Order: sequence, then structure tokens, then C-alpha cells
Amino acid sequence: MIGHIKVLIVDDHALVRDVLAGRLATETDIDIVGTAPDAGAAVTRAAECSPDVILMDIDMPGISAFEAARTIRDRNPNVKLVFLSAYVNDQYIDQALEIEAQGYLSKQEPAEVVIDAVRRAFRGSTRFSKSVRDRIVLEAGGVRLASGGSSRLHLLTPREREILGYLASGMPKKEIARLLDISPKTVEKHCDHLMEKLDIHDRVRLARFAIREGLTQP
Amino acid sequence: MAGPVNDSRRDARIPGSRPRIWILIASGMTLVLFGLLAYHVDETLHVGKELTAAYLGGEALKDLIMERQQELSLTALLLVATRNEEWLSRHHRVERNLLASVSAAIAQPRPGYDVAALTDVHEAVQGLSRVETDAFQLAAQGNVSAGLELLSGGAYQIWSERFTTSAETFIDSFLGYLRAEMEGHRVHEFRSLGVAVAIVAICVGMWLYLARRIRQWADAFSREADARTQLEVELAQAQKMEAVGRLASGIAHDFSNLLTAIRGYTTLAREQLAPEHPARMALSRVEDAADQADDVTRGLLTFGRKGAAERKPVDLVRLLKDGAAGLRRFLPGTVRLRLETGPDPSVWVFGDPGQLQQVLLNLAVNARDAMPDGGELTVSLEAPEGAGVVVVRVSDTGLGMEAEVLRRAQEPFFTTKDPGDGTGLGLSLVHGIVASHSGSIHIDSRPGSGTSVSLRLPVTETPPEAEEEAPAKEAQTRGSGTIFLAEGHAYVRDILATALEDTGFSVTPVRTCPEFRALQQQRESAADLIVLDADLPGGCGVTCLEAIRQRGYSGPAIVLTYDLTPEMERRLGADVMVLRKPVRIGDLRRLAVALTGPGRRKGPVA
Repeated sequence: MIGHIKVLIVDDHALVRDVLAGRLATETDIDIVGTAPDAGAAVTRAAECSPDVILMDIDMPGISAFEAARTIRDRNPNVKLVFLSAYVNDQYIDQALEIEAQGYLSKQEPAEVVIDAVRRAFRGSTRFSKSVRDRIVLEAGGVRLASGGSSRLHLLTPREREILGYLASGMPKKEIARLLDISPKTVEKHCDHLMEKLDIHDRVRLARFAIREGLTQP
Repeated sequence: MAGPVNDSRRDARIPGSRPRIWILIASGMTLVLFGLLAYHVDETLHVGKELTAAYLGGEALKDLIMERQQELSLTALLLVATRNEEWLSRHHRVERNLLASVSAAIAQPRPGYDVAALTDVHEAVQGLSRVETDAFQLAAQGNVSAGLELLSGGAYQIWSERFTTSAETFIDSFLGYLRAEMEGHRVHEFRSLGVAVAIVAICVGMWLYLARRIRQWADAFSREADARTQLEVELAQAQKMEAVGRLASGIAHDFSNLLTAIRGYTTLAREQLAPEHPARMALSRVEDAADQADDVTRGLLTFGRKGAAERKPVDLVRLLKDGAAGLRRFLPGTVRLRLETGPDPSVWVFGDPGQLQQVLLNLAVNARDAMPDGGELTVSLEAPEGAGVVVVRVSDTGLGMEAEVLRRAQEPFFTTKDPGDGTGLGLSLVHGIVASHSGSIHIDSRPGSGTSVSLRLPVTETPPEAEEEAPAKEAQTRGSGTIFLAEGHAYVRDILATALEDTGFSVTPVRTCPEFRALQQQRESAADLIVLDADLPGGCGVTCLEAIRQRGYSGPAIVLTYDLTPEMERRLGADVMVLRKPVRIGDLRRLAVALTGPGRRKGPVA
């Protein structure tokens, strides 16, 4: 064991605080260095006991948990944040991602998941539920949560879209290569990539996809 | 909890824009009409008076001429016969008067006087006078019979006839003039009457039009007023529901925290007991009960959900199955619940799961209330192949609805329940939610035969994450091997690394190009995949990849970039898979697995 993980627990319900503290304390690598009943108190407590990981409830009276988290981060950029909430809510997850939290867990999760999240956070890893994790979108300069369904079409580069259009209209690959003035091997590579990206591996389905997305006429 | 606001009611605008102008125009026309009528009455009176006066004047002149001439003839005869001087003076007086009257009429003729005829009359009187003077002289000389002969002779007769003819001509022409005047006035009056009738017609038309407009304005005003009242009532109702919703979510939140504590302590207690301890079973039951209570609080939270509707792929089959479990608890024992979800394991629509749950709940409440003596509630789902829609049908075997009730069923606040039992918002809320999901609703009902509500919603393609979560696909989403991950943003790197590790890869993360180069130099092992952010600090991502490839790495690579320039595309070539941000982690994981799958080459690094 390299060192104990110092954890600060923030929750407005004393019972929840106590049960969390009690459960986490049974782990040999975790030390509960403090608890706080609201976000404001969390800022003070964090300054006093410099925790490695803060487990913080979101729905609390007083200042917002995210506001407090930002203040704490400003003072100590190395502190890891794991949010807990009664229920999973897209807007909360988006805010958690914005302040680069290491995790967001529902209170329905078993204690083992919470403990795992604390350990991961300490290591710099993250823990989001599986359904949330796959909806996270990598953007220029950060991440956010995808708000709606989206077509896989956006995964394609402009060149790949162009080739998809030709493929779907039934043009042979050699013809496409001649039209675009590139080698048939390059066309082959582009085809492989676009099929992988779309997860479509036969030309009939590819044509159906292209028609649905408006890349080619039926 | 705000209900849908029916925007069409707001279109009840006042027709036309300037009612005052119309009233002014109509009043103006009416005034013109009355003015014209008054003018005509006045003119007719005036013309009548003038004509009467002219007639009387002409008649008087005629009488004067005829009477005086008779008197002159008579006095002349008497003077000649009697030689009495009195008759002579009388004769002269009458003659002077007559000539003066005729001369005056000639000098200042009234309209319609025939001056030529009057001049003739004047000459005839003078002619007669000359013959009478000769007769008087004969009588004075004692030759009475010769005087009388002259007065009955041819010359006297000729002048007498000329006089009579002239006087008659004067009278005839004057009467002719009067007739023409009357005729002219009549034509003028007819014309005026025509104009007046036209104006009356216009006025009547305008007033009728105005009356119609006023009725329209009044209707529009009353519609607007009704709509406002309705909106106020809806607002009040919505605020009430909002308050109830807030209360519900507050309770749910507190309750959920208590449940967390109950579960936590239960787990703690159970872990301290020996595996065969009898209290373990009891503690498991406590946990089960807590799970059930959790479902209840989740239902409350759904009821009290705030903020904008979510839009995400929702599996209707799962939603109905989950929903049915909740419904069973609130349906009385006399109502059987039947769920028919069809052959498809999942049917996806794009929408808000909470709102769709509420639709199901509201319809189920209506169905339950329609079956006070029990019955069967059927929730079915059909997704005809290729139709692009899914039909969810909620039917009961209850009382059914009369045609009139059915017609009004979707109106807000229309309810057949007792006051306090129903808000009348249930079905209109359903309508609003279904409409906001681009769906439609159809209700079939007959008294005694139950009610069936069909919702048609457009289906959406199966979301990628759902495909991945499907058990059949699970195997394919597990990867293995080593990934070198170069990402400059620490948090993004953490999230990506975690996601890839959870997928089964061993991930070696680096932050910068120098680190990446150092890694390839020191490591003898091989990377199965390189995931590289082209926007690495210093912008050297592509150069770095080129260097690695020159050193012999021929394995797959995924380059993430926000801004794909043609220059970059050319340098990367077709061998590298380029993903443009924004990229979903789900897509990235899937591609990483696909690119490192069986049959893929493994490229040594360095």
C-alpha cells in the first residue's frame, strides 16, 4: 500500500454521511478525514483536511455543489471529485464533466461501486456508469454529454463521405479511383475505414444508409 | 408539470384594424344623405312657389287684357250710341290702363312671356282705338249710324280678330312655357331621386357591413376573453401541479437519502454476520423492501420532474415492461393487466422517457377509473415492419364513452369525474406529450364496450450504445491488446483511458510528443493500436505519427482532430483512420475493438 486515500464526505443527510463513512472506513486503504453537511462547509473542510478525494452529494441546500467544487479545485487542483446523486440526471452529468469530475454515481449503486470510484479517482481514472460513459463526446478542448441521438455519418471525413456516395450509387472501386485520381488501394483503405466507422460491412446496407442520410438518391 | 398551451387560441385576433374609420365613413354618408334630402325639399318648395306665382301673374295679365278689351268695345258702342261724355272718359281711362299694362309687360317681360304676341296685342289695341276714334267723331257730328257701322265694320273686325289671336298666342305660349318648366323640374327631381336612392343604398350597405364587422369584433373579443380566462385557469392548474410536483420530488429526494442509509446500514450489518446466521435472511428482505421503496420514489421523481424535456433514444419495450411493473402496484386487484409487447426485443423511439412513462400512467389511470367493477387493462405494442411507426395501444373493458364525451375528451379540464377526483388534464397532457414526440393519438370508444387509445410514434434507429449493450454484441465490444494513447488534455485522457481499459485494453497514456517518442524508444513491446490526438500541445501530433511510422510501425492508428485540413489529410494518407471531433466515446471504443480484432496485424514499435 503506497498511501491511504484521504476522503472527505459531503452530504446533507447525517444518516447517509454516517453510513458512507462507516462503510468506507472498513476499507484498509481509505481514511475518512472529514465530513460536511453542505457545499459551503465542504469548501472550509477541504481547506482544513486537504483530502485526496471528495465524495459529494449534489442536491443539497445552500450553494451549489458544482460551485463549491470549482472553488475547491481552484485552491487545490489535485483534489479528485466524485459526485453522488439520488438519481442520474443529464444536466448534472454535463456539469460534472465540465468541472472535470472523476465520477458521477447514483446513490442506488452498491457500496462496492462507490469504493471502486474512490480508488479510481485517486489513481486519476474515472468512473461513470456505462450508459453515460459511451454518451460522452470528445470535443476540442474538453468533453460533454451527447444530448441526443446522432448519426454515425459525422464520423466520416469529407473524402470518406464522397466515396460512400459513389459506392452507394453502385460505382465500382476502380471507377471511383479513376474519378478521384487516387490509387485503387487508397480507395480500398477509405472503404475499409468508412465501413468500420459505420459498422456496416455489406454494400446493400451501405447503400441503404447512404440513401437514408441523403448522400445519394435511391 | 405545466400542461401544453394551445397556441391556436392565441390567433383569435380582431379582424380589420380601424373600426373608428368605418363608423366615421358610414356616419358621414348618412349625413350627406340627409343634407341632400333637405336640399331637395327646399328646392321643390321654392320651384313650386315660383311656378305658382308665374302662373298667377300670366293668368292675371290675360284676364286684364281680355276684360279691358271687352270693356273698351262696350264703352265705345255705348259712347257712339248715347253720345254721353261719361263713356268717353271711361273709355280713355280703360284704354290707357290696358296699354300701360301691356307696355309694362313688354318692357319688363317675365319668364315665359311672348313679347312678339304682346306687341301684336298692343298694336291691335291701338288699331281698334283708331277705328273707335273715327266712330266717335262721326257720332259727334250727328252721324250715329255711320259711327255704329264703323264699329261693326270690316276694319274693326280685323283688328278685333288680330287682338284675340295675339292674346291667345300669348296665353298659349305662356302656358307652354309653364308646362316646359314643370317638365324640366320633374326630370331634375327624377335625377335627384336617383342620386338619393343610390346614396341610400350605399348607406344601407355600409351600415349592414358595419353591423357585420361589429359582430365579428364582438365575437373576437369574447373569444379572446374566453381564451385568456382559459389560460389563466390552466396556469393556475399548472402552478398547482408544479407545486405538487415539487413537493413530490422533495419527498422523493429525502426519502431516497433515507433509503440509502437503510441499505447501507443493512449491508454493514449483514457483512458482520456469519454466512449462516439466520438474521441474514431478514436483512435481505429489508434490502428488497428498500429496493421496492426506491421504485416508488423514482415514480414520484418522474411525476415531479422539472426543466426541459430530454430527448434520447428510448426503448419502448423496456419502458412498457418497467412501467407495467409500476402499474400493477397501483391497479386494484379486480383489474387484470395484460402486456403484449410483440416479437421485437426492443423498439426505439426518440423522446423523453419520463414523459412517455407519464403518458402510460395517465392512460392507465383513466382506464382504471373506467372500470370501477374491475376488468382487463391491455397495454400492447405493435411495430409493423417498414412502417416507421410504433403503435402503443392502451385499452380497457370499462364503461366506454358517449360520442359527445369522446368528442370533448382531449379538451383541457374536461372531466367526467367528480370535482377533486380528476383535473381534466390527463388526456390533454397525453395529447401534448405525444404531439411533442411528433406522434398522433386516436381514441376508439363505445358506451359499454370499453375504450382503446392508440398512440402512433415515429421509430428511430437503434442507438449504437444499445447495440453494444445487447448480449449478442457484447463479445465484440471486448478488446484486448495494448493501446498507446497520446492526448494532451489530462481529463480527456483520463476518461479515454478508463473507457478503453474498461473495454479490455491495456492503455499506456502519454501527454506530449516528446513523451510519446521517449515511450517508443524505451519500450520493446508492441502497440496494437495508436490513438493520437492531432491537436497535441505544440501541434506535433501528425509529425509524431509520421516519425513512428517511419520507424516501422505499420499497425492501425486512430487520429482524433477537430480541424481536418487538406494538408493533414494528405500527410496522414489513407492508412490512418481519422475521426473528427466531436466523437462519442462509444464510437471510439467500438472502432478500437474493430481495428484490433482477429486478423489484424500487429505492428512493432521502434
